[in-house]
Amino acid sequence: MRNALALSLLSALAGVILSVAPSPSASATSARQMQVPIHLRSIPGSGYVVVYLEISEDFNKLGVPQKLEDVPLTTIPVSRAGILQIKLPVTEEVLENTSSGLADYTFIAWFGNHLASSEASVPVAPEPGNDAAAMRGSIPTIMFSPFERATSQGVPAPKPPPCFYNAHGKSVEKTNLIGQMQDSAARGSKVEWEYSSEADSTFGVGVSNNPTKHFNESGSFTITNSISGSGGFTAGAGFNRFVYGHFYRQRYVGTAPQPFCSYHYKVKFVKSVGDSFSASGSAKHPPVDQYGQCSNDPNGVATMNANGGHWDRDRGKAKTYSSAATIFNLNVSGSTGYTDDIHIRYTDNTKHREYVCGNAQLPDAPILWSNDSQGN
Amino acid sequence: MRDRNMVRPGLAVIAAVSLAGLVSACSGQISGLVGNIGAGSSAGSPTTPGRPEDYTGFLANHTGRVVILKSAELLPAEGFRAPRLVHEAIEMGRVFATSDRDWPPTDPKLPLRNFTGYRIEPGREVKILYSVVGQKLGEYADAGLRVTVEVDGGRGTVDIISYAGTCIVSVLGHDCPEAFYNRVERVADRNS
Repeated sequence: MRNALALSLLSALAGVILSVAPSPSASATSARQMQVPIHLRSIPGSGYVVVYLEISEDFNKLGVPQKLEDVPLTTIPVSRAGILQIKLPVTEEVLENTSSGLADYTFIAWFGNHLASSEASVPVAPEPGNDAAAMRGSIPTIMFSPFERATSQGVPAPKPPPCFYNAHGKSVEKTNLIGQMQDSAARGSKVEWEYSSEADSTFGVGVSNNPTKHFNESGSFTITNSISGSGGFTAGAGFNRFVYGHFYRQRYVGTAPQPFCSYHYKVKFVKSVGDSFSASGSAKHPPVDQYGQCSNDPNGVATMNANGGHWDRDRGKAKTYSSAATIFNLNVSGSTGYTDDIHIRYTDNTKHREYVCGNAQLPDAPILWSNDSQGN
Repeated sequence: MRDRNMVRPGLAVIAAVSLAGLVSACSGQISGLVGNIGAGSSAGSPTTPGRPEDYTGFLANHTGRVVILKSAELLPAEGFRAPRLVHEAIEMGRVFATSDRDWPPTDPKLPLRNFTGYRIEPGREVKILYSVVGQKLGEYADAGLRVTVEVDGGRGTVDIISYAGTCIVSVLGHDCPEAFYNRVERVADRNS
């Protein structure tokens, strides 16, 4: 709901919302459609947005797809760049290729001989109970990479051929930022990060025509962790650190010749290990509540009993971090929202009352902080 | 955790519809009243026999109409002995008790209003403080409250999901077993 409001506000400010439907020649006009906002960066004239369904295939032992097939779904004419609304076809093929209710769409915008690309995991079949970032509220605006000159002269009508990408090099395990956790300084207080079942993590995708350089962010991709191991940990008084998890990153290369496809190389995080751990004590600490202490926080204050009060929050909402992950030279944003069984639990075993507050209205704040009555 | 947005306000329509249209035929639950804000989460605390332990549930009114609170009963938590509900009140400020002790709670002193007859304006969310007791040593838990409300002169109910584990100990200062809270948490998750 808040996303929707924010989006409406953004749209109103931009003052340039334009709703466009797929062209009549598109093959999927009879399918259910889902309206999504896109942002095409500055370029003169008009063009097309080609919408593809990305299908992951040939998974290796780690569960990392070794092949990506982008199946064209529709071609949508657009009269200009900027913020637009387009309608995505939700065909049977789309619904057959979802993971945790999410379908992976890729987009190529053609304006003459310039192209830009994007990618998005869209909740076409939201699962009840899934409150994670990608599922909640409206879909965030799909951001395209900057326009670049292409080797071909635009998209062939009415529909381009499919695009294929193969894994290029081995999967690389990386640590990515997925959250933060803080506890009061009072001795006897305790905070637990419980990460034991499913989580949806969304990270930016990088595209480039060079295998290791000049990557641009091109939308985002959501991974569902289905490992049901325990990745939680417990921390004591005074703890304030970022929380990380391990993910596999894979680079893909387009199979030649595919002049109508996007950039030659695509890199994204395609597999979550399902663990979590805190940053080291010497690492940069997360900022604490901007209001100084919970008693000043206008978003609300939760109190916990002395001598054993517990408060356990299901962390359905996710906090997006602007530099959660890296793709070669590129910092990309990322967020982890939780589908089930993922919690932060505060315990007050001190002899005094403890407080919990957050960066948004309680009880559903993405970030929680705790302190004692002195604000420590 | 259930999506709060799944219960949409809907409710421009409601002005022209009778209460019967708001109440589900089978459960008596009123659409537009959102009581699952705390679903998937839980609270807990030890207390001594007969000493009130207090918890908070959340209720949002998206019916488009004024909702009047009438009465409450405790929702049992599957697999646990239920404590006895002894008090309810509305918490008025920014501060709410995930767990508190005694009635009314005094540390901190919370601004409270009477539960019965409290009017929830359209679009507002309220925090309901409720208090339970257990007489015997051991573990108790509840799933929150089933609240009877009045809307436009008719009555219906809403379940306010707020899982809470209360263990009765002989002397304060002894925490409940970790396994007890884990069990409460699992039940809360399973039913969210």
